[in-house]
Amino acid sequence: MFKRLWVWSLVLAFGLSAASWAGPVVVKLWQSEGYGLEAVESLIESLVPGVDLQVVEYPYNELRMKLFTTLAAGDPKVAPDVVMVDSIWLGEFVEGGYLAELTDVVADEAADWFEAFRSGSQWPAGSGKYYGLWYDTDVRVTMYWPDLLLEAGVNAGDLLYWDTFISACKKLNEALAPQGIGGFRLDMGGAYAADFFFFPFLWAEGGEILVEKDGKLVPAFNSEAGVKALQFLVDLVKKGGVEPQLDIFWGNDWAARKWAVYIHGNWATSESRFPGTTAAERQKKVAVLPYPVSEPGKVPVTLSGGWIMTIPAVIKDKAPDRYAKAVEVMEAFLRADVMAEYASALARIPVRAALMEEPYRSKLAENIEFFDFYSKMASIAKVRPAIPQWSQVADAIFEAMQKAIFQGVDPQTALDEAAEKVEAILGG
Amino acid sequence: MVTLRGILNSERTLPYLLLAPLIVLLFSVTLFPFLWNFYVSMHDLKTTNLQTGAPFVGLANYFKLFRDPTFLHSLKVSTYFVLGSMVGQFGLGLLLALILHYHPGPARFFRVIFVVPWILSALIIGYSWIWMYNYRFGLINSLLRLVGLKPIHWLNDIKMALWALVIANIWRGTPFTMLFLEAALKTIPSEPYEAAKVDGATSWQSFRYITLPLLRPAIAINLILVTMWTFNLFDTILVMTRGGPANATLTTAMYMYKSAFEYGLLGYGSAITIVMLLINGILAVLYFKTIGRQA
Repeated sequence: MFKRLWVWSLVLAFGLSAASWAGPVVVKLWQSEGYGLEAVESLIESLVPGVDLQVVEYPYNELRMKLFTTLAAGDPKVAPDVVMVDSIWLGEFVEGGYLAELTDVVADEAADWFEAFRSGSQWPAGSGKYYGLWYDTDVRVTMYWPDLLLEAGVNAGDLLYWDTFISACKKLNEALAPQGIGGFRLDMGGAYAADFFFFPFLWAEGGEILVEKDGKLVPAFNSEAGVKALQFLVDLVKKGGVEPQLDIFWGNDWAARKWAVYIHGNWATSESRFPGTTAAERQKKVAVLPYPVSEPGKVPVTLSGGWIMTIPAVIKDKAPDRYAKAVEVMEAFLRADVMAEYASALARIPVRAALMEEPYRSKLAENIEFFDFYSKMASIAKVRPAIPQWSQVADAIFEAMQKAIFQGVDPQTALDEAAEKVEAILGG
Repeated sequence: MVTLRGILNSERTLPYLLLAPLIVLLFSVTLFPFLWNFYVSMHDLKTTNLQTGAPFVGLANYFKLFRDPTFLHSLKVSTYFVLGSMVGQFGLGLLLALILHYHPGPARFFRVIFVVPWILSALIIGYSWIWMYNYRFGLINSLLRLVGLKPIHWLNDIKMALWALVIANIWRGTPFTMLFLEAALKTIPSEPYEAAKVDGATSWQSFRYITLPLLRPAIAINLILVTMWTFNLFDTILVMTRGGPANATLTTAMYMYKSAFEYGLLGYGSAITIVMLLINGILAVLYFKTIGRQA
């Protein structure tokens, strides 16, 4: 009897030590360089005991291909447990079967998300099938240096409407050129230019990029709204003397006062561009406005991007234990307090209503300049269609922009040519 | 009876045996990727069907290529880009090689200076030239303004952008041609020149009838390498213009990169690669036939 008890005690002791030797379960999370989820790494580890969260980052362009090649191998041993995918990649990843359907995990939580981001976390958008949840966002706005406007004799109100915006740019260029400062920076270095300078104007005019017709997506950006939006850009260059820029410094040069006015993402007013300053100090230095619109009465629209937190299908299908842990980790990440902590640390714009309320709002507003304005913009923002052919579509639209701006092709013709191209891309 | 010693001592089999590791290595690092690439080009492989399997489409990707106006446009852009770069790199490279060869004193110092562009990363070169071409603050436009000329929209102008890239590429590639041809010049014996001098040949005649013919094999190899590298070049273009404005600098290599890695059309991108390889092969044969054989 004693012998048996002794043996069982030994077994129990060994078992317990083995369990402690096994250590925490490693959960690997892949993100794009600089996304910054490591800011809440220890918080997540405290919320999900027994988890060692390892955040791995890859450069933006590398991450997409790295994910494709890793996940296509279908081997959970090499796959990450949780991944952050750019919202515009969603369709491509879901159609390729790389992501797990997570409706049962996130659908309830998603009710608190702003419509654009809730719908954008589903594939097809608005279908009710979730493949993760949009984690943060950004908004594009007009930003300017008030003192430079004053020096050039330009009123901030002039930046609200297309006509006055053009004349303001001309005035700024002329007045500030001797100091080596540009009036308005128009980025034309890549397809991203359409995100900043075409889609928001198109939407504000009531247009759409693509629409569904007989169950198929077809181009709609060559509508009257699209032509008006592109004509505005052409006028900016021709009448406003704006010099399109092929390089992009993501707001660094605007923050260095190389330009008086810029239309860019909210990160350009953040601490990353003004090191060592507080949100209150930045609000005193620079100012922001919504996008200009064609005429009073038109409602400005902004474009939002962001990242979707999701779990690879290979983890759900082939490693159920890891999937369960990944879900636990993801649920912890999606808690309002964790999202607020992350948004506050990285100055990211939240995607859910709860974060616009107390107890979170005050803390966020303390760290994120123009918080209420940015949040308001995010709540009414529109997003790009996350179809697998998106990069081709965006390139075709950007080509039309370039033809109209650099080659002097009539905006309607340029957009019609692009629409023809896009129709073939979507149909092929 | 066939024994190991017998095989090792056999004059017929031993060379093959010794070559075998190299052949296996070559097969695995060059031929296999090529064959695999060709296999991929016969499938409609996309990032969206990597897991499910891509349907076999035969030569459809190739037929589609030659109906694709963007691809045909990219071939035209590549032709201008390669021709411009080649003429510039070769002309300047040969000139510098001759100067360095006939003036060995200061050559050592200048060789180091001239070689700097070649050892720099393509990305650094791209960014440096973007700044030099900047309309408002760029060095080149500042110099133009200084001499009373109008600044140029180097990278924004559809007609100028490609030539701006050609200039940057000539700057990067000239040192290679210079070093290559200078090395070749050193291999030319002095006797033909001495004989020519005795016969009363001028410097130009010596260059035209001795130097150039004896340099021909080196010139052929240099032109092949420069053509291939320029035709395949995409990193500098990616940094400087990404193929824009309005596809004015969209070379075939750039289009291949975009198709495969941005659009996710891996089969189509592979077909472009195979066509590029064929073009490179045809050009190499042509060079050897026209320049190499005469040598």
